[in-house]
Amino acid sequence: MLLTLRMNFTNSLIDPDGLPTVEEVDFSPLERDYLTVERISLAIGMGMLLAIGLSFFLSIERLHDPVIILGAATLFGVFVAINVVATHINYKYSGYAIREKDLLYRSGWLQRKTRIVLINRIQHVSVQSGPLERRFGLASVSVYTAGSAAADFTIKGIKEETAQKIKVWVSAETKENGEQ
Amino acid sequence: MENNNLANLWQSPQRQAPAAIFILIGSTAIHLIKGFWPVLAIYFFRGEKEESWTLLPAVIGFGVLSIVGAVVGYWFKKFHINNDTFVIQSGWLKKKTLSIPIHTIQAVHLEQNLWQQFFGVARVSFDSVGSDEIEAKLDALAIAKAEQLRQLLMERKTANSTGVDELIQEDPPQLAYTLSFGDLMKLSLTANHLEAFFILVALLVNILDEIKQIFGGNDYIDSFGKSVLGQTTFVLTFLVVAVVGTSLLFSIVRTMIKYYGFQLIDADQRWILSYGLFEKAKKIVPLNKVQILHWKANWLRRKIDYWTVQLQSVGHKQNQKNNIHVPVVSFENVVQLVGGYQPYEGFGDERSLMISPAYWIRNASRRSVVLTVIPAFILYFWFGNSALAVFLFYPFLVWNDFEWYRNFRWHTNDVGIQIHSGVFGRKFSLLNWKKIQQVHLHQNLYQRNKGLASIVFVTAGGKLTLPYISLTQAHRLVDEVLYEVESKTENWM
Repeated sequence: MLLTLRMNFTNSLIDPDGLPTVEEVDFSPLERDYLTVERISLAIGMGMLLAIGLSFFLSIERLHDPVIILGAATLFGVFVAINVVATHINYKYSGYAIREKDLLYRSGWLQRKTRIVLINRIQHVSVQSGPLERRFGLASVSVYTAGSAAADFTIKGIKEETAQKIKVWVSAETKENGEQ
Repeated sequence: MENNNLANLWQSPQRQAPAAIFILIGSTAIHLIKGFWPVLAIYFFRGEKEESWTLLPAVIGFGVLSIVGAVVGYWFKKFHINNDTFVIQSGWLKKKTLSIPIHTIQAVHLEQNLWQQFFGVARVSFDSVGSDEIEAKLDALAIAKAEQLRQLLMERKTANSTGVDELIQEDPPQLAYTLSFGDLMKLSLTANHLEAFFILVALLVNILDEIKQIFGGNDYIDSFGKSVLGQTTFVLTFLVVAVVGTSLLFSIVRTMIKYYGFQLIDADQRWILSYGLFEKAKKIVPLNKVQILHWKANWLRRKIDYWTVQLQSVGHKQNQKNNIHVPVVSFENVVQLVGGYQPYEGFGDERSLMISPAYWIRNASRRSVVLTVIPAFILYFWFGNSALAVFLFYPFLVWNDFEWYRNFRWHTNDVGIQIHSGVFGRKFSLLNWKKIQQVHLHQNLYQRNKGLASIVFVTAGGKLTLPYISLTQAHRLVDEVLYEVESKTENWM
């Protein structure tokens, strides 16, 4: 019995240089329409901020000074410009990859993050889309791992059908892992 | 047969012990007294009794409502076991049914505060895999019944589970560790007195504020303060001695009460902890549910070789009151205890690695500058040039970051990663690869320019960060970790 066990036991040498590398993963870019969605969201957000700012300025008479108004407008302009640039850089850098054993998503503009979630750790998966995303036929896929109430990994800006395919595939893999 | 009868008993919905009503009323009353005690004090000790008081009826009304709420809460809260699910139903107008699959229950805790001890009942709470937001608890169950429920749930869980854990032979429980009176004294004397100090100060400020609000236009307190402040030196000395002395005493008593009768029983890959003088706690920690394990000591405790082991289990939240902390005398004992999770290997040899010096250089040139420039700028408007004194903290902040960098060591092995850090005190962290749920690779602008990265290992019990290592090293480590976790079908829980 012991001899059989010993004969079945293997302990192959693993060459660290031969492991699949995250560095060489080819990330799929997000849909072009997602940049439009992001820009519209930004415009809405900035519009609201501008409205709040304007009502603030109009209600306080002491602020009706050309110098203060010019200063505030400049600050707001710089803020908008930074956000526009950040949205563009973030879109350019963001991408996702699906490997046999894990999902990868990278994002960020100043602080760049690559998140890797292990498929054999996924508890459940969901697909969602907001009104703007739906208008462009886009959706997001969220995966949930143990120990957290909120989704901790979301692939945004992909086609609705791609999102559904990812969901079906991940669910099947998760179920298979659960049964093992 | 006996077990079947026992199981049948739990199948029909049942209420908690009637003592739950008193416990709910008691806790509501304590909350009321805490919130309204200055009002009550003024009401009872006021000079002019004929003055009209409208606040008291409101307090009484609120109290009555709370009592009714407690009774309704008791009446409509029922629990039972339905096949493999533990069900808690609650609410009258807003009904809620909480179903916890028994196999997801990680641990069942029994706790007794003064009220529960008085009524001979225990509070039963459950740790489960999913969200930690749900309120899975019963306020009062008779001790014997609570023990019975715990036993039944854990038996059912074991019967339903599959995996490697069940193959482990049960070892007979053995007392691994107790705290003697001397140990308790050491623990109390080296406790975080600063924390106790701030609690007392906050309490004092809160009380003064409330009394001031109640006295309104009266300036008794201000005039008393002014007359006393005339004798500055005496008052300052008195205040410092009084506050420090009280904090120290408060902190010592608090720690003694909390950890009184502490014992740790090592039973079949589980730790059973029991402690407490008035509020008795009994916690079961299955070691396979521990995701990240730390032990740490402040400067003083390090000198007397006194450590606190902190367990991050599933659903752990930073700085939460019910996180599990185990006080341990001597490093040797710690190493022995944590061996069940991952053998500690030490940091003396050449395998131990440092992080990049860019960590402290960046902090010195950015974070520390921001931390001194902003307060100095704000304080300048009040104190003029004196505000520049804030910059005297700059060398300390830089030194702090440098020391943290200098003491930081890490190394990996087949099982996981071990990290050592600290400035005055020391903190050791162990993480097993199989506990990892996600891996994040972070790079800020500075790190990108220097070819560096930080890795965040995400587990079901929290995160562990390895900061500022070379990007090449980070990529290699991530690849190896993914291989370790993805190539094996080890049970992570």
